Amino acid sequence: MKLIGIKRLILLAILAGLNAAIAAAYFLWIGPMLTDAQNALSGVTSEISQLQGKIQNTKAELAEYKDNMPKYEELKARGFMSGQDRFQISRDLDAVRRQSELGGFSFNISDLRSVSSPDAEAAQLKVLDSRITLDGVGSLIDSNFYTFVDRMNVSFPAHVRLQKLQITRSQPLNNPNLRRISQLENVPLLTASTIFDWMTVVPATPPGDPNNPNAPRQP
Amino acid sequence: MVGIGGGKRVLMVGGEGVVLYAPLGKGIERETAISWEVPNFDEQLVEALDSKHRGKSVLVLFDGADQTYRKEENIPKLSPIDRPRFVKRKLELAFPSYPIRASLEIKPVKVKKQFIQLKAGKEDARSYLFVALPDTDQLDRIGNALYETGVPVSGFGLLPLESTGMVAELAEKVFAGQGKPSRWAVVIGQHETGGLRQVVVKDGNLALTRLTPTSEAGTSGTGWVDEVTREFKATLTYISRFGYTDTDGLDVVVICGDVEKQFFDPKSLPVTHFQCINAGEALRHLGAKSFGFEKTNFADAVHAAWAGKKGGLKLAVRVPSIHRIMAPRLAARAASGLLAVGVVGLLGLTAVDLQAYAGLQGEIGDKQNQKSMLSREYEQESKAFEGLPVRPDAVRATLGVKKLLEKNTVNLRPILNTLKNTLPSDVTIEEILIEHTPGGALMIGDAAASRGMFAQTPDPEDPGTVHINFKFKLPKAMPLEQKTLRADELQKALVAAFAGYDVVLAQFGNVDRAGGQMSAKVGETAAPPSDAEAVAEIDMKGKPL
Repeated sequence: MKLIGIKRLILLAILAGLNAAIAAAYFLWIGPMLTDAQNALSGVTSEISQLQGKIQNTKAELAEYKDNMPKYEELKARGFMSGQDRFQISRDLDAVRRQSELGGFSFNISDLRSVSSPDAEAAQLKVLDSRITLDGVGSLIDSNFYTFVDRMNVSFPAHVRLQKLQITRSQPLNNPNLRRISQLENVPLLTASTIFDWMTVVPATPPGDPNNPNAPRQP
Repeated sequence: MVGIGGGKRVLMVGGEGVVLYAPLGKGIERETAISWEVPNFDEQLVEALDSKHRGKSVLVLFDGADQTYRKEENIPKLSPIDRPRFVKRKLELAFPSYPIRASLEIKPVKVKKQFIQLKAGKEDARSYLFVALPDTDQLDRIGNALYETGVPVSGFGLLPLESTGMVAELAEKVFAGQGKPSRWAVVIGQHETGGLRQVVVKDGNLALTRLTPTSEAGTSGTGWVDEVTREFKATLTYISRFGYTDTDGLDVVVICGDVEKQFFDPKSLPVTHFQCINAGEALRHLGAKSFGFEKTNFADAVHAAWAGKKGGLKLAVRVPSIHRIMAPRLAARAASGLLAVGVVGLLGLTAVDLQAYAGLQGEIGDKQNQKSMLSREYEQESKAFEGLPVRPDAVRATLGVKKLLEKNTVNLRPILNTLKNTLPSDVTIEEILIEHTPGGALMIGDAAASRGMFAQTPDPEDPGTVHINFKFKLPKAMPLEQKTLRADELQKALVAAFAGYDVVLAQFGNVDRAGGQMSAKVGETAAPPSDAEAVAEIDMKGKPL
């Protein structure tokens, strides 16, 4: 200590103390404060990005909605968003039959089945399917069957897809049958059986439920 | 001119004793002089050092006769890493028996804006001045006294080397305006520490130094003047051997008392300029004040004033007995420096971070404002949804479902048209089956539940598969062989028409022309074909057209 000198020792102590004090202030106060401020800035920046994204999404969603609404209304008018009334289907099938100039036939409708659709489920909707099976549909010529299938696609309410069409020659084109045809008798030379899937989209919740698609929403 | 500021005590150590000088204003004062012969030398020195100036650091300026010098030339040009080691080794070889050694690089001196090379043709070679001292008992006693008092020690220097600059400056000031400056300069003075010291400088570098013991003529008076004249003439013969010629010019300054000035005869000396000045005048020439040194014949004070006011030593010599005193203080000084740098650095870091923090706060404020504006904009945009009759996601999902269903709904027209256009006119269809299996994305009924966890994600663009199966006939009269050929042709035509379809033919009578089994009759009345021979079947599978 004698060689170093009391003044220099005091200076060393003061400098060491200053170092410690400033370091403590820096690491215990200013450093965390700066980190907090940086985190806060990151948080606000992130929130701004989210808000900007939401605004853009809202605008895009609104524009898309306006574009899609006419198509939606058209589908709605065709009964795509209706329930599947079993009595109504008889009348609709008969209308298509007449348009196709077919004779009478028997049909069978299966129980309602659900169709898996994540998009529909996310929008609180469900897709319903009824399988329509037609047997023993007779006709003189096969084009009536094709017209029937075509009419089912175009005129039948909601959406109908053809699953299966089978046409079989049930009677030979021989002299007796030709004679019957010449007498304008309805001779079913061909017999067809078809299977259709009849599909509609309906709300997954009752109409009064706030989750019902027809209820106004906040984005 | 001697620099002003700080100021150190100077302890001059010579062969006869020590003299201690202390800074006083812009000058210097003589504190004490102690002879080695004094019985209580150590106690007196400790007492002197421990006086009122003990807070000032002490520079030990060695003026003894034991110093040995050697000029080492032709040091090759080496890298900055290798050169110190090489010089150190050279120094050890030059003075193997001396414990105290040091070296000083002699740099070319600018004279009249031109570098004077040490040796022509050796531009890359460097010259060094090697010095060495024996570790004497006197140095140990000085070290012990310094250690005992604990005064700060600023270093240990050799008087001739440290006064080189003083000689050049003194000659320049004393002979200013007296013609062309000389390349050689000498300062001669009687030292209280013992002996007549001559320091000869050439081009600003130490060329020669001599210390002549005090003779019987004493340290003043006419006898001393004769002694000086005699010794200087001897010096002239020495420097002539070192290359001095009259054309180089030689300035001589003798520091002496006013009485002795009168006895010098400059005309008897073959020099360019000659001047006797007293110590007070010498100090004034160097920019320092004199406090009673005009009356003395000793020149020590001039050297002490020069060395004491300089910022640092020209060549700091490491003497173990003195360095042990300096080391702790040097370490403490280094630590102080480091800590001071640490304080400055931390303060700087703190200031930078505080500034950054202030900037961040401002930025956060701006962002908060921006966020508020965006929030309001979002609220306004959201209000547009309140009056909508249907939720947009329901509309989007409904259209998505419709698109999926359309993708998986087969259109019969292109299939039937293609089939009709491909079938020859004499082909009669007996039965036809058209079946469409939807793609994996349309999962009806239990299809979704039956998908395992390892099932691949279905492709939403997959339209499913169409299966067409029909049985047909050809005219009865046509031979079986002809029918099979026609059936093959039909198969090929269907493959071409239904691109990508697998078309499988079940041949008339299940005949395999290429090598299958076959039963038939020849040479008998032709029998009507069996049912199998009359009907062929084609099975096709592929994507909807």
